[in-house]
Amino acid sequence: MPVSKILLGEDSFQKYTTGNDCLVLVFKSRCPICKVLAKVLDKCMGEDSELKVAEIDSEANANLMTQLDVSKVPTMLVYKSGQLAARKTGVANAKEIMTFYQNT
Amino acid sequence: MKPDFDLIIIGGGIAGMTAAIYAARANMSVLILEKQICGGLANQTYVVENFPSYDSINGMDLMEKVKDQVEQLEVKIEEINEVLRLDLASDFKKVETDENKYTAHSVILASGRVPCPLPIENDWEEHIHYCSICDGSLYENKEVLVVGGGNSGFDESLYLASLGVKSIHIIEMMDTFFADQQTQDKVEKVANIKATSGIGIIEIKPEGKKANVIMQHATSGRIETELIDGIFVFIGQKPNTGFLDGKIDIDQQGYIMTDQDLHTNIPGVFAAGDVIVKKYRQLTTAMSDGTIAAMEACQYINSVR
Repeated sequence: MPVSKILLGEDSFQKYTTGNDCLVLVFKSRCPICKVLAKVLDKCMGEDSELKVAEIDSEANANLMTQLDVSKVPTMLVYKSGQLAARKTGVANAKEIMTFYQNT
Repeated sequence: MKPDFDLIIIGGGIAGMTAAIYAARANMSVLILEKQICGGLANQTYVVENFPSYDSINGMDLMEKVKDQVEQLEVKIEEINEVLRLDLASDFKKVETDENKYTAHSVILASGRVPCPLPIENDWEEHIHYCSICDGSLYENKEVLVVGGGNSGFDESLYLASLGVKSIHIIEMMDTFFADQQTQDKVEKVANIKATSGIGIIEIKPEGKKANVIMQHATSGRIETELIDGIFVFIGQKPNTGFLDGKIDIDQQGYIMTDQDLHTNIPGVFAAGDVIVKKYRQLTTAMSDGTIAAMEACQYINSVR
């Protein structure tokens, strides 16, 4: 069973990413492609138990969206050692995501 | 020897889910394989107002209700499971996905359509959108272009205006708009939406977070530039038939050719919904296709097992 993703807010976001390697999915509840990507990330987590994945609801965190310069959902943010290392918008399959994450 | 399922349905949009309901109620074992999530293009429709039984309903809500009904009938649904290869020639049809291989007596192809991308090379992809429900709210108090003068372009512009987008310019490459007159009339009454036909984008030049969009009028050749925050694209859809790899007869545009009972050129393989050659592509016509394809498939399955 895949581990469930952590839902971050403006307060918890900084704490979660600081010093860590992780993937953060920025989504919106009414976005079908976001639901697709969330399920793909579940698949990735099922295949790699070390992978840390969290989510941010773009509508509930408007200031954070400005701070992160997000203009499209879904957006995937890759953090390496706490630094924003890469971003990717739109849908991708599990293999593409894992390659993207590992090559960042 | 028995196959894994009586029927495999490729595509979990309204056509595929309707077919599943009919087949499951005929005591067939049914598998739906969906590349993304069930619901198809209807998931991206903010409001559906022509579906009998609801005056007005959100597209994703409607599709979730249909999916609930399908699940109650014990249809196996596999989402995020893309079909890679088909072997339809033998008695048991074989379907291979990125996760597994499955066999069935019969297959219904209901893989639908996907939105056509904006055919302009650019370095501004993060600001080019195909789903206003997803990204519209990020453009409150901003200026956008909507590409496409059909029903989707006009309806989605009304939705964007309701979200507080500051200005919306609908552009259509052809010299006339294709949206129905009632929708065009609604748009005309909204002060911050304007619509221009006979104009197309030729270049997008990013300027910080905004972009200068260079457009050309088709008849006069006159060039116009507009500084905008984002582009929403609604220029139609193309059939999702690439995975068929020449095994099923398709027309020049890639739509599956069927007879009136939705048989394809291969016995035991049927097709339904937006992916087939037909004139009208609506939720209700897709449901009709799903019904017919399922009933024909059931008849076929009973004849071979």
